[in-house]
Amino acid sequence: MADSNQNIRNFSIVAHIDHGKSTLADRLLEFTGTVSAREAQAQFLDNMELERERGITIKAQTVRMNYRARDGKDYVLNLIDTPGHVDFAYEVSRSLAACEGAVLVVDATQGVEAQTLANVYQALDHDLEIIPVINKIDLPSADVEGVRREIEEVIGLDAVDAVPTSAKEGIGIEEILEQVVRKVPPPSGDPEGPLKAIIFDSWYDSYRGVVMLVRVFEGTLRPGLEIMLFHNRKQFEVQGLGVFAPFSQPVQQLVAGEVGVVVANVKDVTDAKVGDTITEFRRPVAEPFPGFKVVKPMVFSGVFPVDAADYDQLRDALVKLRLNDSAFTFEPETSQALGFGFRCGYLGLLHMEIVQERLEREYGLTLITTAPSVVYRITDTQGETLEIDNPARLPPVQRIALFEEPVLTCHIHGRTDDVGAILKLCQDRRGVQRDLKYIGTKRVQITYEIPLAEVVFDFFDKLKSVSRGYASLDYELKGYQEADLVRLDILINGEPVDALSVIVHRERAYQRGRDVCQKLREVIPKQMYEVAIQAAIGSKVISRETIRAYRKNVLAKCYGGDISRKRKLLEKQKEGKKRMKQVGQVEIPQEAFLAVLKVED
Amino acid sequence: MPPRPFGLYVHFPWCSFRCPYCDFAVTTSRPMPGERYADAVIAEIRLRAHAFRGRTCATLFLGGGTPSLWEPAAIARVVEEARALGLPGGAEVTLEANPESCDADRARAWRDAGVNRVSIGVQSFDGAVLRKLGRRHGPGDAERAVREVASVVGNVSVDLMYGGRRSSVETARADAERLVSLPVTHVSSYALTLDAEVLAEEVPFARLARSGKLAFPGDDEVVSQGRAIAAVLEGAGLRRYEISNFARPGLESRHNLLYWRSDDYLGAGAGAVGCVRTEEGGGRWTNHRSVGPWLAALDAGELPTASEERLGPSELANERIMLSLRTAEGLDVAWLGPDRHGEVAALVRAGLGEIRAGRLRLTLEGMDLHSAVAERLFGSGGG
Repeated sequence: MADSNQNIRNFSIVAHIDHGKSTLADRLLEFTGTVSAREAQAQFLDNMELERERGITIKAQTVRMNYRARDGKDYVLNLIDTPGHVDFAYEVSRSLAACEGAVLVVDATQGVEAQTLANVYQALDHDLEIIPVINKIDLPSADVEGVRREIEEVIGLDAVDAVPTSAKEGIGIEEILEQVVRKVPPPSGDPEGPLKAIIFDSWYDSYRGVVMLVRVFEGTLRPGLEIMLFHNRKQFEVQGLGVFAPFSQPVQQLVAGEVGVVVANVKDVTDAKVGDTITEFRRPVAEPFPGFKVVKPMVFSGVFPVDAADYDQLRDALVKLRLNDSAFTFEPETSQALGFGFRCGYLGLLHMEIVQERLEREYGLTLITTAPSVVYRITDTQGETLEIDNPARLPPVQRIALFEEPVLTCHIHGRTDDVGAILKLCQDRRGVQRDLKYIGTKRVQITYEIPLAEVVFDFFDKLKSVSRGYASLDYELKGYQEADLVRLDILINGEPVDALSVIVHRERAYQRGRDVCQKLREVIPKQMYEVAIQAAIGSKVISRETIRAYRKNVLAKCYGGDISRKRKLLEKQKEGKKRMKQVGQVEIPQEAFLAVLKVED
Repeated sequence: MPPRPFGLYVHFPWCSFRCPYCDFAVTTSRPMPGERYADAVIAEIRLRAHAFRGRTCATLFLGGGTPSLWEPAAIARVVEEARALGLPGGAEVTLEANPESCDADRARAWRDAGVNRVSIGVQSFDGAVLRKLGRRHGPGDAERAVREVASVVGNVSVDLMYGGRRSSVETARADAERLVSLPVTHVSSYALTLDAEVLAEEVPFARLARSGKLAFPGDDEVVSQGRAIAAVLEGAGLRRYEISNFARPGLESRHNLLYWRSDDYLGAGAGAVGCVRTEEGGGRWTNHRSVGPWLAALDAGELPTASEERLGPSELANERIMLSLRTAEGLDVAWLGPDRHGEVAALVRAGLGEIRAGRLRLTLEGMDLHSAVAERLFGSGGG
């Protein structure tokens, strides 16, 4: 029995975007006969593309391959695909924790890039055996030896055995599989020991309830086994086990070292938290798998239906989304300007965009989203601590004794050429430098502490832009720090619009107020009434812009032959305004509510 | 309640040339088969008449194109046909005319054919403005035409156009002042419109304006011109009874009022539009715009309809809002859903509208924003 897991290899593929990760995954599946060449195109990849297009790369993918190696033995290779965005850094770390090795794909024409580095360091943190692969050697500009040297110099990996590959042409595939078998250590762990399995993804399936994707480290999962989820001590009975090969198929057990899915009558996806440990109820392990975190939303925004009649539909959609995404939260919110809606919490801005896009596309809702806010911590004059994720809920200034904001430790990998621009960006975002380390002659790792609110505010896009795409960002929450913060209110025709309020640093408030007023002047269309836009701190107006009313909007002639055409024109204009929210007599387009976020520095 | 009357509109598409701002169904082809066209118009009226059974034709409007180019005998036959639909002896019969085809002899022939109101396309009395509008008559021709026709027919309406190139508040005011010194009972004062989405078809001026090859006055200037004209006309006792129309009391266009009051109309001729409403809703038809297909259909004994539109309750309601707000009579506030009452109050607060006897009427400022106001009052379920 102890031998059974000697034939298992668990690995993932890490790569910079566009370096050929999916094509390589396809070739591996094809070569091992897991899918036919046609299926690889038609099924597996498409499936992934669709998921990616629909924005749910937050979901890890796994596939089991059977491979007879040159040594004549049969191996089970589990390929664990990981999501690829900083918003999902924790999920990535849990997927990597389920592996013993990683195939590192480097483009033979592009060499080592920022994301490659970040991914490699993460893999090394998990003590994974790394198998470098130099891909796209079929291209005329491929420089295999140059890239080999770069892997050694920049990353510091031994690249003598790096496999020259062309995933496109199918070159080098067998050698990669051989190296996985030879170099990636088999999982250790006693199939007879007390059960210890880590959940690295979970989702809701309307037929089976919550499905948990797990890696077993110790013991064996079998149908009928009484299991316990470590973090909440809840008890469930295993009902079914399965693997993806590449389509789901049932198995009778998952032993130490194996990867597969568990169905155990779990109804609520929040019970099956990523990173949690599953153990046996009667014979629990003493210690769970390390590194478990309850993932908490970092960014909050209001989500409101443009048409108040869609409120119930929005709530139903949020409930459904939540079934599959335990990192996402929502609770009812009421805004004076926007009416009834929900305050939603997300891991980050990408997560926020994914959720909003799904709500609009999959559920056909037309929504207004307010500018995202981080969670501020207020200690009031009574000594009580409040967490504020909605600027509208901020207590009056005179009741605030201590105003704190969340701060991140940001690790930025970039090219030495871009150091100046990156440092300037971090400084501009109220960052405090903690470390600056050169790696080789071309690379630099910069560590900064930056308030989360500043990172939320298009920092990632800016970083990409100042580094021409080369810099990567990785961050963790450092904690809360006191800061001189104020609430900036926006008034439209003298009425404060609660949904447009933002919390900003006092030094930035004036500039921000001016920028927001200007931006709103651009995005709010001319209307038949004059529109006054003001920014204010407390009762003090710090900036004002005016949108003049139309002077003329009338059709000169309207006789028998004109009526239909002109009515349709006005109906079309009215239809176009369905995406606007009327505040007082002013029609405000959806994008205005995000304008407070999107002003230029 | 007696059945609502309806209007008869007959379109005559021929013009001697095409004006570069005109989006009507117009042709300049020759020969101009006036008698054959009249035969076909009469055939169409007969085909369409039974949708109006039991109702009385109240007005006749001969529009175009340039129907003053039509042989008076043909016009007489069309008027006869309207009489067969019940058009009373004293009812309004309007003929559109351009100044070049107006003289006392012709006016007598029209009068004898049954025409009792002539609408003359003067546009301006300023030579430069007229040339820039692409018109071929001069200020003197226009004045002569008005005087000669008025001496015979009496009831003369004039079209003015402002906002063209070379126009200014001064030329606009001068046009209006010269106009009120003439024997006119009615004025239509139109801003030159080149907005692509408003026009039925693309016109040369719109293309030139869009490409930046021709510059036209901006909105502020156009509004000032329109107001200057309105002030002169109203000062002379011509009451503004619709956004672009002014009349001596009692001499408003009965035919056009029928459109703005959401009454029905039988349209005949190439490019004509007609509309019939019943209890359940209604329909509007548009004829083939070109004479060829229009004639071919009638030759085959078929209706020359190019397209039809069903009008449901929301379309009818929106039209009623849009049309009635164009008039001094205004909109009965009871027609609006309760959810629009806040909008009405805001209009009144902003001085764009006023309420009298339960009707919302647009003020001078409100009329310049009619489209925006109407759209905000449309039901949200419309479209």
